[in-house]
Amino acid sequence: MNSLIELFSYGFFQKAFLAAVFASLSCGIVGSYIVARRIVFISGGITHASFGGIGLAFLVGFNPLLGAVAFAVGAALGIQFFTKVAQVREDSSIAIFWSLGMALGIIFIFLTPGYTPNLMSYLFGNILTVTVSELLWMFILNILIILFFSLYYRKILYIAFDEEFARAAGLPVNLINYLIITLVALTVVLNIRVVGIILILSLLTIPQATANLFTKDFRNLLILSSAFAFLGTISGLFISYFLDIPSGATIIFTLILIFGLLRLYKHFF
Amino acid sequence: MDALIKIENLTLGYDKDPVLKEVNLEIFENDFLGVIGPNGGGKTTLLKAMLGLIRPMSGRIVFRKDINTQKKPIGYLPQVKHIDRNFPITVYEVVRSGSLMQNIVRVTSAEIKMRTEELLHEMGIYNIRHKAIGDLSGGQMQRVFLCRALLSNPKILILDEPDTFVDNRFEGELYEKLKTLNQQMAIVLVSHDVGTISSYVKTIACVNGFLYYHANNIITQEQLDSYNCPIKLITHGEIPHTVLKHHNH
Repeated sequence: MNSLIELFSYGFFQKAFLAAVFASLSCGIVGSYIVARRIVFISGGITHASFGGIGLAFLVGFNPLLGAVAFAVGAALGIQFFTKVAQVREDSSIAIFWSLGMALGIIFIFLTPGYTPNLMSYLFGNILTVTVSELLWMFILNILIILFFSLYYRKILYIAFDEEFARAAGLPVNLINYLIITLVALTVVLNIRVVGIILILSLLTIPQATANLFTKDFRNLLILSSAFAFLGTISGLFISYFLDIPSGATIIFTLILIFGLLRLYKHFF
Repeated sequence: MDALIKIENLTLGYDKDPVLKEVNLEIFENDFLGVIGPNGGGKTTLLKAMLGLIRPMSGRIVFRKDINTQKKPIGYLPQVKHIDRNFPITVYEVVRSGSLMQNIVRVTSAEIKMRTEELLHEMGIYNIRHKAIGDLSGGQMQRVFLCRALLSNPKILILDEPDTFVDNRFEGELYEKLKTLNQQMAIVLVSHDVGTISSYVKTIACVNGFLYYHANNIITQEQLDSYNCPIKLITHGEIPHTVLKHHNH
């Protein structure tokens, strides 16, 4: 117990704790939307496309998260555009942006002279190395998400549930869809440092699946998902620290463990 | 008396391919119009145009001036296959979402809440208002979506194949309810089964590429043949039976 308290006196751990809170809130809320709306695959595409931006940032020499934001938002809007305007099948346009981003990232990193440090932390995440400025951005994103979802809760819910009905009622469905997909892109990118590109999708879907075991009400789903995300992230963080294993992977493993145990519990009781 | 909706020379379609041509139709107060026709004949396309979801290729749809002040004077019940049963939403919220059709500016949130609860009581689904829609039976689901359609006090109620929610045994219940509602609003009912609806509707429109209007609810085989409007005909009799068309030889 003492070692736990001691842990909180370390600056790196305080930062990691805050990152866990911010990641849980943003992924809990945005993830619930993604799952309810069945756009998990789009989110996967956006996530992987962001790797191109990270590669470009390494090559040219600027903040990798900036590159990731540009590519993620570009992919998010690009997928929508390809599907709606250019009439490419949605799953195909997702696959195109997914692999285009990854391919560009690999090429850029290959062209980058010398060794690329931190590359692994973008792919697999490392919550213990989150910086203060990244925390600040995560904080701003959380404020944005919470404001947006509490101000427009019912509009978001009703559009997600029945887009056609909302359109018939004259709601700005396209605008809200574009706004939300941009929020998804930002959420993905700013949480990359926590669990990495490869694993971020699980933070957006597993806590939601766990929460879905207990509620089918969208509002409760938002809250419970965030809670389960926090439970998994924070216990994963402790386990990875004490066992000295990679944090991102441990967090995901913990999330899945919680889901598995509660699913079994629901089955038997 | 002016028509609630006046459809003039309307041609509808997707990507330059007209699905429905030169439609002229007027819907008046207390009308009960059955829209029948084969799949792909343009029934749903016509509904979508009335809801403002697709832009006409030519022609126009005009709402009567006095009801034009309402954001959309239409209540709409979609086909059951259109609904995502796994979506995490409660009965209460689905019904309340009908408020989107209202002019929000003039209606307070408390008023919407009151109207929602009132309708839930009226339709006998108040006790299941916290249930997820995925846990409902077909009949309950049908009532939930009827509630949603009625929430905005529409002047015109549009139902797209409402009988697909439930099996035939429960159909009568809905049609009796619609009969009562018809005293307050015009109803447009889409179905591919003319027999069941013909005893309730007042007029019939047969849609198959074109729209053929019948000022009464009796439709004969000859009419169907001449309009090339192949539909299932079910008549009422001692025992449930389906009458098939005579063979040519």
